[in-house]
Amino acid sequence: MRSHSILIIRLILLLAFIGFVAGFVVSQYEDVRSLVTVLCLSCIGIG
Amino acid sequence: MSKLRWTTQFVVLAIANLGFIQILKTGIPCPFFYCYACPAAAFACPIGVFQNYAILQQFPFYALGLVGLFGLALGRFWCGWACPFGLLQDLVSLVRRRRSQDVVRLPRIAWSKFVVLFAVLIVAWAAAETLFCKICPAGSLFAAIPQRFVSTEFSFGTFFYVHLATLAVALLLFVLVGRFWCRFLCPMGAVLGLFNPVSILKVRVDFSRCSHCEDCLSVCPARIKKLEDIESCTDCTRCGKCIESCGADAIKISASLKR
Repeated sequence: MRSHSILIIRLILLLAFIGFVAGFVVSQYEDVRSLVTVLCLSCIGIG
Repeated sequence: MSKLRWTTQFVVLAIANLGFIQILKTGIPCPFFYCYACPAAAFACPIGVFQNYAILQQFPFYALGLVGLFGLALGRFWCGWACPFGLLQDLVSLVRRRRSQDVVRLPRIAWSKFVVLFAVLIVAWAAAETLFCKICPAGSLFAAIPQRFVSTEFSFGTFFYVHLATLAVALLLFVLVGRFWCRFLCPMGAVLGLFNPVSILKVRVDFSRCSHCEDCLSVCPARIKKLEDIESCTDCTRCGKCIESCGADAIKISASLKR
C-alpha cells in the first residue's frame, strides 16, 4: 500500500515539474540566463 | 566511496566554472549552491533566481520545475556529492585534528534552514532586493573575491567587505562544526531536503540485516539520531559515511521507484 502511495506521489510531482519546465521554458529561460550573463554588481559589492 | 565523492565534487566544481566559454553560460538553475555572479559561472543559483522572481512577484515555474526534477531524482545527494560549497566545508574540515568530530558539538536542528529559506524569500519580496546575495558566503568566495581580481576597473564598496566578513565567519564555523552551512543554514539544502522522503535515489536501511550497533549514526555528519530517519530525513546529504561504517552491510544507496 505504502509503495503504491509513494509511487503515485512521485508520478504527480514528476508530471507537475515537467509541466512547469515545458510550459515556461520559452518565457522564463532567457530571464534566468540573463542573471548569469549580466553581472549583479551590487550583489558582490562593486560600487 | 569517499574517494569517489571527492572526485565528483571536484568535477562538478570544474563543470560549474565552464561559463568562461560564453556559450556555456546557461540559464539552467543548478541543484547546488554556487553563485551566478562568479566570472566563470555556467549555471544560475536557484536561490538567486527565486529571490529575483519574488522581487518581480512572479512564480518561478521553470526554475522550480528544474530544481524539483533534480530533487525528485536525487534529493540532497546533490549536497553531499556535487555542491562546491559543500566541498569547501569538507576541505576546511581536513584541518581538524579529528576530522569526523566537531570541535563544538551542536544538536541537530532540522528546521533552521527552512526558516532561512522563508526569510530569504520574504525579505526579497518585501525589500525588492536580493539582500541574501549581499551577505551570502558562497557569493563571497565564488564571486566577490574572483571579481576583485578579474574586474580591476571597478571600485569595491561596503558590501564587498561585508562579503569578506561573512566568509571569514563562515570559515571559522566550518572549522568548528562539520558541514555547518548544510546542517543549519543552507536554503538550497532546505529545498532539496523536502525531496529526501520522495526521491528515487535514497540511502536505504535493510533492518533485517541491521544489528542496531548505531555505528552509522556515530559517524553521521548530519547528526541523525534515529536509524528510522536515515532514509527520509531532510538533513541527510547521502554522503555515504554510514554505508562505509556499517559492518553488517545493511545500508546502501539505491534507486527505486516503489520504495
